Amino acid sequence: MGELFSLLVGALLINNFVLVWFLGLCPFMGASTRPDNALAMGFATCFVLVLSAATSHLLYHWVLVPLDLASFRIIAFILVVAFLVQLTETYVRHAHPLIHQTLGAYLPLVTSNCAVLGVALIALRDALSFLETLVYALGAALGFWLVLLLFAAIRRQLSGAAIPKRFEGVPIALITAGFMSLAFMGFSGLGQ
Amino acid sequence: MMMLVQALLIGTLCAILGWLLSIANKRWSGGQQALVSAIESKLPQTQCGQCHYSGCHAYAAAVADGEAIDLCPPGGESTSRSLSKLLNRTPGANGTRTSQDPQQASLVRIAKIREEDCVGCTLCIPACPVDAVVGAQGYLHGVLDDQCTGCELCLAACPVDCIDMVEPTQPGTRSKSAMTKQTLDAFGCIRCGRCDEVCPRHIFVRDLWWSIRQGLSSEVPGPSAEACIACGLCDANCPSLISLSAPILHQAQVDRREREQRSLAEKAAELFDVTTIRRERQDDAQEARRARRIGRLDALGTERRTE
Repeated sequence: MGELFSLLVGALLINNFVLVWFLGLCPFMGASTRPDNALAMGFATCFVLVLSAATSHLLYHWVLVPLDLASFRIIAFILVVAFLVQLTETYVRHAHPLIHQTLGAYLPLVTSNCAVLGVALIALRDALSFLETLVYALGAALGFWLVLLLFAAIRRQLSGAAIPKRFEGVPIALITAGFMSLAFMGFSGLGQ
Repeated sequence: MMMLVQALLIGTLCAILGWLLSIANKRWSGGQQALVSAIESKLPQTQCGQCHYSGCHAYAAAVADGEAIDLCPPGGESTSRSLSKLLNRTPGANGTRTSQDPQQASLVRIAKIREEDCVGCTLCIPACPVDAVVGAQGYLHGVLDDQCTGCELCLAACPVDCIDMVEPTQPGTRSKSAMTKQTLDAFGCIRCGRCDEVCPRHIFVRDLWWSIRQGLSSEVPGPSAEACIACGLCDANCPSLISLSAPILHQAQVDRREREQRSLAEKAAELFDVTTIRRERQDDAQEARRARRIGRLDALGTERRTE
């Protein structure tokens, strides 16, 4: 139990996918312009991430290994991620068309979110069990969501600030992300 | 051989996932409707068809499918802004025709009433969705150029076809339409005093309105224009359909601005006085210090000389 918890906190804070490993930066920059966008985007990513990690784990151990297809794992995982994203998009369009309109291209772009594929591959590399994979994916997803929300809130504050002309937009966002990354380095002491 | 089997297996995986997706697509096909009605609620509902769709609903459906969001002349900028907020799209970003296109912008025409033919029936007044037509029963009506969105809904309402769609005139001539409205309203007022009775703030609306019209705002007894809360009761109860509250509110704004400017000027004058006094005091102190120093040097000089 304690091990699972440390796995969760490890993926959530200590080895945060966005700020420590710099995975999934494109939605981090793109969908953080408004806090409500960030909330919806974070939720969609969470959903896809956890589900795809679980499905990838099952697919690898129950289909790919018995069929001697382990070398195809990246292609298979990409397929699974794309499938889940498309499924999510279809559902969101059906149930919440406004959110679908607001997210626009970012929802299909979860497919190319490197954090999603990264979680599945890292869980495989570390030979995590199914339950551990789930917890690990949940931690990564919540970490992504947390950082996205924090970043969106900071960007909202920044939008009212007097920023030098050359730094407006993405440059100041990247600098902010850098500072957040520095702040998250403080969590590295949690693991010991 | 091994390679072939592997490719086949991956292909099977693709096919299964694709099949599941197609099922999901069929199962969750709705949802567009909610989006369309959300978009439609932002449109002005004039059903004028100037967007080249048959009505507001048809245009909302087109917007949901990716049509540009700024094709609605009656809604104007405010509608395109609220749509862009709703859909997170920039106006004119993903459509072929946009109203920013100068050629199309020049095609927006506004209504003008041919004065010699108007019979003063008031039928066009309720037809106007933006209250740009002014006038009273039996008197010539006028159109406020800057309010008219060119929706052409008044054309159908007019029994004598005296409304033309014309190119908008130059900004300089706009004051003419405002004057026409004042003149029309002045003819319309029968001094019945109903506006005074209904005003919840006990403003003498009739006298205030007359004095504002003649530019004598300060001589009316009772509360000033700034007491107006824009409830519109006077407008609603006027038998001649005069919009009484608009000039009163405008006057209130002017009064408020004047007062603010006056207080700002007073504050500035005060500040100026303070700084002048301070500077004078500083100058005096400096002068005194210099005098003291010269005195000291003088004393030193005489001391040396005596030595």
